[in-house]
Amino acid sequence: MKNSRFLALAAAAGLLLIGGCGGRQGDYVIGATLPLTGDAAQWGIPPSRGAELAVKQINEAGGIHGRKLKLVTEDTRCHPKDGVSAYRKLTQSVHPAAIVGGVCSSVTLAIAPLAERDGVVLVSPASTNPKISQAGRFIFRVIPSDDLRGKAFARYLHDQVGLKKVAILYVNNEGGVGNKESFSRTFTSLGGKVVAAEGYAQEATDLRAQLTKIKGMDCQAVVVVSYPKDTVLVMKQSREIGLGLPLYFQTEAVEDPSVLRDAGKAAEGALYILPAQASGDTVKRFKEAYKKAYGKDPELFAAEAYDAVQLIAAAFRSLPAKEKVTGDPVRRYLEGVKKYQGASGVITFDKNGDVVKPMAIKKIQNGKPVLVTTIGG
Amino acid sequence: MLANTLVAAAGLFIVGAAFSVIYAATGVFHFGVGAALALGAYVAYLAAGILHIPLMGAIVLALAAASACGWALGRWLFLPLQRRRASSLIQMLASLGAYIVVQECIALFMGDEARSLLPGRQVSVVSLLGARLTSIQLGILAISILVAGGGWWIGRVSRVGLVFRAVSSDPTLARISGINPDRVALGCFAMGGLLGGVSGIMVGLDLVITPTMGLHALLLGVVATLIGGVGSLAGLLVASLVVAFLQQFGVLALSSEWLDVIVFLMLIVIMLWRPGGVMGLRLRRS
Repeated sequence: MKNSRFLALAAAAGLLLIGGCGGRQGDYVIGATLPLTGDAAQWGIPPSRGAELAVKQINEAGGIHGRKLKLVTEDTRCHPKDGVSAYRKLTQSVHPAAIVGGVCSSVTLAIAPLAERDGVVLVSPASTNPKISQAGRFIFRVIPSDDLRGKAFARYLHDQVGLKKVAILYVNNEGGVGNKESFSRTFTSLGGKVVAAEGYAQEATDLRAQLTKIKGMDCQAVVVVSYPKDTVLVMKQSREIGLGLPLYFQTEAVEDPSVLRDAGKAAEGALYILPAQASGDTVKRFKEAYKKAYGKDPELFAAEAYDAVQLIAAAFRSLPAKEKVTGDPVRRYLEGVKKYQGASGVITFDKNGDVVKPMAIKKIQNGKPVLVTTIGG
Repeated sequence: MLANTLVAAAGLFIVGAAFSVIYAATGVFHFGVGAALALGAYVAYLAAGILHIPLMGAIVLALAAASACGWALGRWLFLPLQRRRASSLIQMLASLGAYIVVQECIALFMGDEARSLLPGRQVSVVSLLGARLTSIQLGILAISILVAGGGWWIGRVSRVGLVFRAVSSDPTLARISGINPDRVALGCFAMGGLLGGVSGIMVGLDLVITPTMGLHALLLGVVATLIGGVGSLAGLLVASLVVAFLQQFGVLALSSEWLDVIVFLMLIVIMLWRPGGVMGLRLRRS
């Protein structure tokens, strides 16, 4: 009796272990920590699709060294706490050498010290906070730092548009504050003046108090750092209260389909900055494949996540087939990446693991995004 | 600024009224209003945005759903627990559970992202005594005046109010006099659900709807109720104005990150100073 019970327990434990390994022995594994539910899910689902597409293509072409590549994704909900749980779950179950994520800067910054300690490579497709540059040697990103964007936008608004006094309205989280800081630092150093910087909570829906406050101030324009939901709110509510100041969005959120749909006419004339549209064969092929797989054009960060997976896979491929993959050689491979032709543009990592890309200034005209100019690069 | 304050106060007032109706009748801090609020907003969204029912029809449908939600929470959650003599803490936790179920179901079926009841539409703006108001905000003001007037009339003049007060002051005596307290409680739940739905739709038309909208609106409404004093319509009205004023002008004076801090700090101060609320009765010693 005792023996059979022991055997049953052992069998159960064995099953659990096999289940816990997540996939067949011998697969190459990439982890992903993305927000799949919660307010930021709209920014997490496209990159998860982009990453899956890359994995699918790699496997269809024969995998890596004849072995399959597997993507294991965990939900971060765009909250640092949940992001850390997602990271732990991945590292304790499938032991990935590299992880694609996070999307929200606050999550990436929360995971970064752990990844750095464990020697796991982290490649963010979307986090733009300047602090991530200093997060460690294992932390990379295929989206430019806000510092690059904030500096470029401040210079453009000061030199080309001729603004001298602006107010800033920003979402009060890591990403929003990072954007605000890099803009105002550069704008002030050029001789401009930031008359007010008003923050609002990520889940806020009524921004009229902030907008009304800005309305009463002496400034020429409002620089907005926002997510898609709040972008609609800013556009609509600034018209409702009769703000009468041009809005300059330091975010790609304006291009989100939900913004153009929900804001309607209120989006007209909005000017914004984002990493310049990539071109070339890889880009075209990616767009076609994405449309075929998901029935729509690639949304925000899908191309970046696709590139992150491709780069990590290339690192795996560069290693001897038999060697157990760890984070360190992947890191060394990524440090050497120069002028890689990706779906999100040409990728070169600088010494901080940051990508350097040109920026585009765009504008909504007749309900459609129109390129105004390209700067930097 | 003053116009913003009035509109915000009107919103608070209606949520507060929805909460008070249930609280006064049952003595339970009930989260059901939050559920009805979000449900109403999403039913309106589904009906108008997906099924393309004209907005007015969608609103009627949503209000029916919200009050049905209130009634159902009373019938299948409050009454069974009441019969087992559950403490008000248990009642509160159960209602929080019900609220979370509704919120997560909405999130699962509809997604978490914010949605607009009027996507892409530009709302007409009216200038009134130098203030700018959208037609929807004018509607909110009108409806809250209606609710205030109606609430006063029902509470003080009509027979319903008499029965209601009888039950809330002494259920046993009311039962002896031939009133069925359960039916009164269910009526209050339906009423609370209806008012919750009203405010959910108003928020949806004015701003956006999210699955978590219920709790945030409810908390602020509850703050207004507690500051004003439970059961006092006038107190609620004044408190709504004060809370809204603090929120709007707090942003002017301090930075906007302090908005919620100011409101809840005020709640704590008032509770320490007068636990029964500014206009409410002193707490009974029992």
